[in-house]
Amino acid sequence: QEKTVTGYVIDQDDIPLPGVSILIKGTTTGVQSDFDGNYSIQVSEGQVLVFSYIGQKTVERTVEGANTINIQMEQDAQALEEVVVTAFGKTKQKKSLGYATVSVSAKDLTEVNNTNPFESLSGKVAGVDITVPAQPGASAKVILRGFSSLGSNSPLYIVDGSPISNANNRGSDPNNLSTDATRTYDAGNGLNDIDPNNIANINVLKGAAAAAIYGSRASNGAIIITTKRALEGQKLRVDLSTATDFSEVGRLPHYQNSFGQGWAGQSYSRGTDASNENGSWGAPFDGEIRTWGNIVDNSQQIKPYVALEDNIKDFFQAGTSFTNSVRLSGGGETTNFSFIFTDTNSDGVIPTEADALDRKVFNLSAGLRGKRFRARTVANYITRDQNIVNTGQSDNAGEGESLIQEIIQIPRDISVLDLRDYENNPFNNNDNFYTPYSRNPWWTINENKTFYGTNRFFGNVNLAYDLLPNLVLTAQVGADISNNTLKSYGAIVSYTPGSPNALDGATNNAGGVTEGKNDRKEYDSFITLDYSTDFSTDLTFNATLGGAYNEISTNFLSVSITDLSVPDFYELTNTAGRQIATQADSKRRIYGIFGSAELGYKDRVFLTFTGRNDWSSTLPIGANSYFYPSVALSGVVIENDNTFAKVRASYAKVAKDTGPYATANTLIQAGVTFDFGQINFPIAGQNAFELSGILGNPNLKPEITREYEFGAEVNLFNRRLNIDAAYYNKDTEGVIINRPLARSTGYLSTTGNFIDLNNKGFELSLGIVPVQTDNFRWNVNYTFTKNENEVTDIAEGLSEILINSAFAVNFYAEKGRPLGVYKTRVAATTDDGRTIVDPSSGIPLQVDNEEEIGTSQRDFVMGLKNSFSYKNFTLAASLDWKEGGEMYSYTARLLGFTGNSLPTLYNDRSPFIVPNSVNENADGTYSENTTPINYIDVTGFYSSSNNGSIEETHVIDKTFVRLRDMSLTYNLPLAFVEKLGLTTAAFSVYGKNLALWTPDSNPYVDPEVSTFGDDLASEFGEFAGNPTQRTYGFALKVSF
Amino acid sequence: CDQQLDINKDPDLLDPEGVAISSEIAAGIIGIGGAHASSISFVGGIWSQFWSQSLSSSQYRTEDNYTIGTNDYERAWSNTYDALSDIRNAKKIALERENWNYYLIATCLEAYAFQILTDFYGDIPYEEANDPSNFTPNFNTGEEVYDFMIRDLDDALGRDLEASSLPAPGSDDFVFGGNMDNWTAFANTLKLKIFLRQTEARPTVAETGIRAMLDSGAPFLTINAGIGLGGDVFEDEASLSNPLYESDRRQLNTQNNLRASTTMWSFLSANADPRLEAFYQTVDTSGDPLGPLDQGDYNSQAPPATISLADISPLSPVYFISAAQSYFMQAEAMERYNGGAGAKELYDAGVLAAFEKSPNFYDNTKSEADQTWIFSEPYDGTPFIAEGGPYEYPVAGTFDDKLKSIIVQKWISCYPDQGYESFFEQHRTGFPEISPIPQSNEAYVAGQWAYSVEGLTGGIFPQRLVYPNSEISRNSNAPAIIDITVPIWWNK
Repeated sequence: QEKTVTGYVIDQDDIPLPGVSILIKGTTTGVQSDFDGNYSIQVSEGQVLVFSYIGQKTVERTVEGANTINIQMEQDAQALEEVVVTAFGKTKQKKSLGYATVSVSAKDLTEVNNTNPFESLSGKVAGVDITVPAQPGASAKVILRGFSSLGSNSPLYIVDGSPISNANNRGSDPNNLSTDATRTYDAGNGLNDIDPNNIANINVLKGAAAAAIYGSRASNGAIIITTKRALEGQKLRVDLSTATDFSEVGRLPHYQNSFGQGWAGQSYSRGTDASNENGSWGAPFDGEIRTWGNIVDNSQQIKPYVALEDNIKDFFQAGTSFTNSVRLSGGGETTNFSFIFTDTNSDGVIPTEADALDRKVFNLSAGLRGKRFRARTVANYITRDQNIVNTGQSDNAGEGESLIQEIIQIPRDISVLDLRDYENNPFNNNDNFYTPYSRNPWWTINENKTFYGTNRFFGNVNLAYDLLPNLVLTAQVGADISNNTLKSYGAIVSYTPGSPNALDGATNNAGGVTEGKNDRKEYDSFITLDYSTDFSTDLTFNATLGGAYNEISTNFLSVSITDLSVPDFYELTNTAGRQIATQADSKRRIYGIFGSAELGYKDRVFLTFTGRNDWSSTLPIGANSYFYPSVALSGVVIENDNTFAKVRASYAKVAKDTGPYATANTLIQAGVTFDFGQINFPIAGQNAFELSGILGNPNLKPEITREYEFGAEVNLFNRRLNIDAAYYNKDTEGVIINRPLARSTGYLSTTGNFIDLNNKGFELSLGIVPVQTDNFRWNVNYTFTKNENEVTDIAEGLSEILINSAFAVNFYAEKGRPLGVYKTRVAATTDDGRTIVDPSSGIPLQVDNEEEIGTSQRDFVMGLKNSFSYKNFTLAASLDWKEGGEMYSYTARLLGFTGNSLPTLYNDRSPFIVPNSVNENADGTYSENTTPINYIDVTGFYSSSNNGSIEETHVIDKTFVRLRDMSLTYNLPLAFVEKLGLTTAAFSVYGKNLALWTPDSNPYVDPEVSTFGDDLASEFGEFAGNPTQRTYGFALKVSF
Repeated sequence: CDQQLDINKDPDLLDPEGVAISSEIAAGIIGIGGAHASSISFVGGIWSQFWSQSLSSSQYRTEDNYTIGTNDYERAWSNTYDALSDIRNAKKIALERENWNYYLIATCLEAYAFQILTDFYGDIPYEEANDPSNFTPNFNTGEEVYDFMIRDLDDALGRDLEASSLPAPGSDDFVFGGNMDNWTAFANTLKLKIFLRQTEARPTVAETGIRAMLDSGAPFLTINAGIGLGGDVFEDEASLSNPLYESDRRQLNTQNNLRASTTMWSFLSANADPRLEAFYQTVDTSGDPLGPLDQGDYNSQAPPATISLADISPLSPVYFISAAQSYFMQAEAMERYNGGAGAKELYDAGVLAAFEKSPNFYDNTKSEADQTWIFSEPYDGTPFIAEGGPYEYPVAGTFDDKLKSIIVQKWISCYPDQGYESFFEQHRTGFPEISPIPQSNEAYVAGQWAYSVEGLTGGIFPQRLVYPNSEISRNSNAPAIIDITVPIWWNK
């Protein structure tokens, strides 16, 4: 019996598929789906409908009783994405693009449950270096094609056509170049507010050509995120997903387990019976029962003198994370809407709720279509509350210690768990804690806290009107508004006079409170006119003209107090001292006009030109206008059912402005900063102002990047082998940096166009389907990225520019070297490489001038993902390998100082002569060194105050291979699902950050952890960063 | 459009155009005081053997073993030039406005700061420093810097203060509260200090300069010059206290780095000098006696709790030139160039002033719980200079005997924050003498300077600070690093 069957066809990301061929099997009868994916066909029951579409797996369905058959097609392995979203929400045929783009689908983002959309993408997108440490709420660092700026290197993030802020939540530094190591925190960056469950697609525009039309802020590339939408005429649909994760602490340092508490070989503090050292420089373990710690009321604790291999690990707890998401979507004849709510509730591996994160995301996306008029609006609201465990150096004068700095000093034989009760156990309170040099870590996490809160709205309204069928006027207004609040405090620590730690000179903590707020507003509007026509059947033409306006303002206010009057009361009134207010307001504007034109020949050759002119408020009046063009060519060489090959080439120039307020000199409230602490005006009732150390530059010019790129896309063997490769070379001229000035100028730095950079690289992605049968399919995805960076020129009179530093290790931009070389005063050596030591101590002498000891530049980044599908099961695993490059590790430094690290076992800690060492004779000759480092000085050998050249060993190899994630998904059989009244149902189990391999030279930290933000400064390394975590979870997704 | 884009002025900060001189002078005074009384005081006090690095912590080991590197004293350099940029900017404005009062104050601060810098580093940028249009200032030789300082002080002293434009300095002048007679005396005393430093390297310059001052009856300081002398500037609050205290005690993770050195301790102890109690803790909370640590013996196996800690107060003043120093310099000048006329009286006045100055504030209770800082009764040095007293001036002695008395007493007067000055003077004069034997030897003579037990320079005392890396790496005109053991030019 013949009847009318209707329905729609969508792809795996719920995007409607127009032009799907729907054929009755065994006949030539068929129809195509319309623009919105809808179709209607006359068919008899029992006949089979065949749905086929390029790049998608063919689906067959037998017509039974139902009159509606909706089809969700699945992407065929590695098929070309036919359509990509580019500038201003325009979709383009991918084959027309003359530059590299990579598309990431929703499936890739949600295969394992993530709170950050970039968390599982590391190694999966060629040309993109993604670093998202596995920590609750940590910032994502996403760098496209290398560092090309010393300001911000973040790509421009566009969500549904409007840029959103990716500012990091670390304080007021607008340049993300904060290098402060004291009591740092990472409350994530703007990306953390995007819900992976709500993303339909991410498109990465890697090169300058791709970004040319977006304006200067896309000079580091653009990442275009499209959220989920519904279809017109779609029945109401509900998607539910729930995921539960359990996590344990990931990489902790590998410790030595041979020596216990003590210093300089002695287990007991000099001259007393107490053992109060904060290190493991004592005697070898012997298993005897011993007294330890301070003597309190004539009593002391006892324990066996043995190593506790997991004493640090035992401190951490199992973390949990619950993610629940519900989406409602549907459509009328000319309308559609989608509403999603996702709630994430996590508490990481650090005990208590000190690292808890609670995030709620609402997204509403709705569209309305008239005859010639279309309107669409997207609104996102995010509320996020984060508890943060501070990292970095302690702040004794204010809000106290950070956790990791305290915990890694604990000797190898002390049970951290047993220190937990500091209220009732007198040996664990501050007065009697086993050492005056560090704090009980339980005190630190319970009494010193930091909270960060965000309320954020972003979204836009987009209106389009068809002036003519081929002439469309579009206008959009967008906003990204966030209010962020910080509260941080630390408890008073006051030692009772006469108590053991008071007698040993432990420093009191004054206690302190900081409350701050940071409001950001970004308004972005544009208007475009799109025209398309066919000059002939072979020659097509598309053009866009437009104008854009962007304004960003920030409003930062923070008030701090120290010296709390009343303990445990953390409000700004609680001091007899001063409330110190810090203020930072800023506003910047950019106007732009732009145009682009694309010529297509026979649908095989495409030539695209763009041009844009910007005017920026951050540049000097009169010199604030800059123009930049691009040209791109794409040619399809072969295109048939089995094989596709395309070559592409492009050239682009992009110009970039800078942060606000770099052009003028200013006066600031006066003060003096010391190595430790500072004094600030007003002093004795007198206020004063001094010249700011930042010298204004009235001659600022925009940074100019010129990039050319060649690439090819090849698909062979019926799309079972897919290759995308690109080579690029980009020169950035006049990079705007904060140039540190010689202090004899009286100034600290000035902003200007002081260096030139080059990045060139090669990126490759391979998609292979080695096996494909009816029931089984094996997919392999491989990416390879290599970027070479070089500082090609540096301003007259400068040899290098300091980017970051810790103790005596400095990190520079130096001409002729990759951006970021480490230097320190290494051990002096003879011409033939023998170490010159001090004849009296046997300790190496240091050279006077710093020498390079490594760079942060990687050799390459690779990713490999295998997935196996058998019937309804899919097993997937991703590895990523980042090879080469160095990082600074304060953890390595402190573990060496305290004798907890493996290298301190050298020679069983017996006196030793520095290998291959000599003494310098008075006449300049050298003689064999015979002075051993004596028993006591072996401890000092690992401390930079006795042996300055040891700093060299704190820069370590950051190579790693990581089993990033693994998942097993079971899609319930459709027949069963339909019986339950559901559309789809899937269950998955997964693990994240399951294994990490680092070379022997890094037994310390997860090399992806940084405490210096999400930009160039963070390449430097870590300063007592929190550990990462390993996660296991399961998820259930159903739709009806 | 340009109007819409003309928003690039930071709304939170002041425009430097038309800044009040008083504002920058106040910033400059605190800037200089802050620079000197923090890192410069630490290295000065350790190298002058007031203090030795604690055996139970490690903050100042590189000072105490003489291995200070190019990164270690960056702030001594940077904070001084930072303060100088305001002082020199104020001086420039004062010149434009013919405000000769501020012009003199700024010049005094400028020369005062530069002398300490050049005495530590030798060649430094002077003429081309603090110029926003010159990122690579040339270095002047130490001799040139000395001549420029005298030239600039003479220039400022030569202006007619009576004809100065307004405003007059007042409470913004933390040193003298706007008293210009005192500033004139300061300028002259500073000139005396600059000339005296050259007695060995350029004796003619020193002699000519000082004779001219003596002949003209130039007034010298008879009061202390510094910040917070009345206890009215620094407070016991974070970011408001004496820089030495703020930096060493409030902000470090251990407060016990600076221990009494056997050198100063033994001298005071041998002479039963009551200042011992003011400088150091002499008994612990149980009343048991404490003792000093041999200079640089931070690997000693002695129980840390038995070693005396240095007394440092949050309320202590920062001294620029103390009255004692002024008297001692005048005494030396009289001995050298005026047949010793009045030298004894000046020496005696110096000793008395030094006793009175030490200390202004001390920790009354030594307990953290109810710590209070008390303004002490001044010590009376009269019995010490009386006939037969331990510090009696050797009127009948040789010039060297007299010089030794003067310089040794000046050394004590520099405690706690001006150890750098006695360090320079030791290198110029050789006093206090260097002990040929370690302090652990029973034959050690109290008060003689001893080479650090853990010293790493082969028995050679440190002579200077090495240039900070920040200057060398950013200024292509910077000279090569000079080793810490190479003497400054005036040390002949």
